[in-house]
Amino acid sequence: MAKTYTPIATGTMTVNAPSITFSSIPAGYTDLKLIITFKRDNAGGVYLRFNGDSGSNYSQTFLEGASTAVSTRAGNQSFAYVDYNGDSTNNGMYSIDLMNYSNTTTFKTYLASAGNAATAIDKTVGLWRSTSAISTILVASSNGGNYFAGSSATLYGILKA
Amino acid sequence: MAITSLKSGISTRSGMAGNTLIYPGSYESIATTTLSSAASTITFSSIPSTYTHLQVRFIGKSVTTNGTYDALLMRFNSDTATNYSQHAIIGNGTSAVVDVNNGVGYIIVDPITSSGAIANNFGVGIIDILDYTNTNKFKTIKNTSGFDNNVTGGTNFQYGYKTESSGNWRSTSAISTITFNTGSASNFAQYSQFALYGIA
Repeated sequence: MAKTYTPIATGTMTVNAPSITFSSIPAGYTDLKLIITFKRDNAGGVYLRFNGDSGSNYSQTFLEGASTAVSTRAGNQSFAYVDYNGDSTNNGMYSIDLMNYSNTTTFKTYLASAGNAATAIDKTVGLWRSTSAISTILVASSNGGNYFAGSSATLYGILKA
Repeated sequence: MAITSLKSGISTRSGMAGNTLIYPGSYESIATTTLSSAASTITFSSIPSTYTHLQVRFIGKSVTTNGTYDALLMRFNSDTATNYSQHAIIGNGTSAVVDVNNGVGYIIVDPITSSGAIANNFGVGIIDILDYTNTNKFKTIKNTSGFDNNVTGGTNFQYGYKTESSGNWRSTSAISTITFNTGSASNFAQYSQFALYGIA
């Protein structure tokens, strides 16, 4: 059997910064998995952009549990939004699966699980309406804040048989 | 901060905040089915018993035009009797609901898209099948899946569908076969892909 689940790259911030970019992502895997831990200087979500596309080609459906309530909502905008992030005192945790990222016949869909122990847990499914293979991922603050030094992101590749 | 270096060469890796998440060498690809044309059933058979857990990662679409989505049904070892149950929490962009099915002949792993969804849009999911060879207990799965339809739809159509679910097969048999069908009994569309992995 082929062993698969390969770390591709890791970024750890040594100074406060607004974003991390994974570039020149190899096309030789089936799925990508992105694991992120962030602490930041203001509350809010994270956004992703693929291949530098800043057009209105992204949409999401959210399922969230916060306090004692569960809720859902949908949205579309010019980035792939993922709730929920950390703030200045609590790490935000993300696990994002980008399915069939190098497939050039289908749009790209991701599944995200995120949480901040002090506030909420969020599950997201998101769509990037492009058949292009994903070669670059920008991970950034949704409202312009910085991520603190020590925040990190690791990208893995998963290869089918 | 741009990352340009790729391939760390490290064989094991801590995935999150100092906690060892996985050992990449213990996660293996077993088999994959990618449809070159529409088909009614996807089956993994003769699954080796040498792993501890299984994971299925899929993109899927049904050819039905009834709405924007279809259910994905999963069975083990060709058992069609009413030995399955599941709980799901679902958000469709406008309401969050819990769905329960007991004593049914399959596990419902919602959703995949249908031909009523926007073009090129496939539902996706990741299914963990835990302790699949253990003959002392029933088998349990957990699933995260969904699709997004760009806030388009209408009556009987979903804008999107995010599901978290668990399922149970009331059998102590080791799982050697997994079968997938659509809830509408329609074919899976071309390019649907199901990949099976083993976790040691």
